[in-house]
Amino acid sequence: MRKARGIVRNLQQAGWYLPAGILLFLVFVYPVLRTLVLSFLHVNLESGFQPVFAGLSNFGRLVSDTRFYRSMQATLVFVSVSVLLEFVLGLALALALEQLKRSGRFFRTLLLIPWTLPTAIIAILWMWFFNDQYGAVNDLLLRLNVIEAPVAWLAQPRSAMAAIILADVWKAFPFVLIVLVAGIQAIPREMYEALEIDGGTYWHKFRYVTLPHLLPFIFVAVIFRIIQAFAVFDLVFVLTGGGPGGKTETISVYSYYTFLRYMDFGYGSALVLVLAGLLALIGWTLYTLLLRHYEPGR
Amino acid sequence: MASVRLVNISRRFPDGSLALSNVSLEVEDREVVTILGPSGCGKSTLLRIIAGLDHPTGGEVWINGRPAAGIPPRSRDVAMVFQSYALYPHMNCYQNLALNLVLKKVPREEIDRRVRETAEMLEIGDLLDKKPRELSGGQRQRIALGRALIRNPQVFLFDEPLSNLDALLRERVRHELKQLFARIQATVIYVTHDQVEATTLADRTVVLDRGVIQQAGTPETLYRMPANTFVASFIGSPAMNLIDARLEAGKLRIGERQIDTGLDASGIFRIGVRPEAIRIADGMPAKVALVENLGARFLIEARVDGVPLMVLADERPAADSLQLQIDPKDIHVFDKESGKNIRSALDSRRIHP
Repeated sequence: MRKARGIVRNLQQAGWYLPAGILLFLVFVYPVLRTLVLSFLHVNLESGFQPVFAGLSNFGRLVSDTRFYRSMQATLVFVSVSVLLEFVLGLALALALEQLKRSGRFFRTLLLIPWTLPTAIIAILWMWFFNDQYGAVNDLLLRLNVIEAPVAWLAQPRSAMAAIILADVWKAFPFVLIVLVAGIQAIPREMYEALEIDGGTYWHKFRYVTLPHLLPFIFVAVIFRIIQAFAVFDLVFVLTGGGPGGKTETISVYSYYTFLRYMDFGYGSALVLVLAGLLALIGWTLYTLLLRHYEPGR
Repeated sequence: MASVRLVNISRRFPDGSLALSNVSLEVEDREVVTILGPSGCGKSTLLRIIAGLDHPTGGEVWINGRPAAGIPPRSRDVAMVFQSYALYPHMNCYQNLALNLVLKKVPREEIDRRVRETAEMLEIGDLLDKKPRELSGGQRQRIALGRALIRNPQVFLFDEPLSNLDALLRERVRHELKQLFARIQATVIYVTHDQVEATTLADRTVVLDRGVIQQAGTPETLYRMPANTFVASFIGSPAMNLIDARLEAGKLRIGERQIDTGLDASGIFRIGVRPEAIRIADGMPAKVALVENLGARFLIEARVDGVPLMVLADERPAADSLQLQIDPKDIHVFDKESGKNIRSALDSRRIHP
């Protein structure tokens, strides 16, 4: 009797998890498993979209795919430069905002606006900024006599990448900023006062109090940014579409083309899995570093 | 070591509230002065002003005969121990102790020697490799103390250093601090809200309330001759009985009873009697309302015709009623309006000796 009641209670409890469970399964577990299965199959135009077992050949193709390497290189350049800039800018402004007292709050809100806008809209905005004929960038530089003729910024490899990075930094540094501001505000005032009495200068305060306290916040902000930057899609897709000549094609844009332009679902799945594996590796490495730094006895 | 002189210090916060009002105080060389008051009385602000972390809106701070205005905290040669200890969490205890000397570019060998010396004095040698989070509250407190000691400063400032310790440990550390103060012969200004700390550690105690010094004097003076009802109720445990009562030509009326004080005064006053000054002996009959066992002694709430009086007794009362005796010399008389102790003024014009 008691046992039966226990089973009923367990079923009841399971019932509460069901809606969330179904949702998670449909949008997360199923796609992941499906991608995993697809990566071991040929499903493409050639196979008439009939699944043919491929073994590891999709992954083998990756190894000799120069376009994969090029997109990986573009992704790494994009991630490292933009996350570095976002970190430096976010930290500098967080420290600066902390110096302002009342007005700091106003500027903080103002600076957060780009973060709240959809990336696709930001991409269109920057596309027009960089437009060779009507863009504000060319207009400004022409007026200032920095350039003599309009420049097609998005049509040259280096400037196109720079434009994408600029747009990403503009959108994403407020995220770093807000995380670091929260971190700075959590630092007890007495820590600074103790150092002030101990003879610390402004640099010492940063070196001995602010930075050590901020490290966990920096790690969180940077890990989030790295993961998001690795998956950058809409910004690149709208601004350059991966061009010119595939020089700004990131790994996510490449996998999008593989899936939806070349209809190669097997190979696309392999690409996506490699990207996911890479991200997991980076996340795990950073997390272990963080723990080693902060947990005693590790 | 050095003296500290505060002249008419006032501090008004930007929101308009007055944290300190005309505070004047002279701390002699090698004197231990405790500043006692409830939270929000301005005692921490006063300490921060001496340290140079806060600035007075009026008045002057003098350290060792020199005006301190415009001198930044690091040049004042004061050390401060914070309530939260403010240890640097990412550094081990050795580095915590050494940082001040490192910032002053003291040679490495001397830093090492002084860290070892300080560690030995505080018996924290085995903690030097550990980080603050690996230490207990009492150990952290010692490191914080060591960080102040190692500098050999002119003045030590303590901001409620024992508040974060549990009761038992607090008593032990208090005892050790007392010994330490005697050994290092330092000028110490020590802020606390705990009257036991304030009176046990101090050569002199300053009682502060609402930014105004209520009384400054030796702990004995504060206990025997509290300047007003605030000091009277703040110093001494259990707290002094304070009742409004009528004096008629020197005769104090408590309920239906009278005590001849011999004072030349009539009217309604606030009368103070310490619980330990009331004896159980033939005198005023009283009823026992409540008995609290304090361990060594008993705190009795007695009622004399309904007027409650706390009495400290050696033994538990045998019956529901008892008789109380109050020596007229133990009676404090405070002005009902101002709260000022007017006993000594009255004493100087007694009717009969």
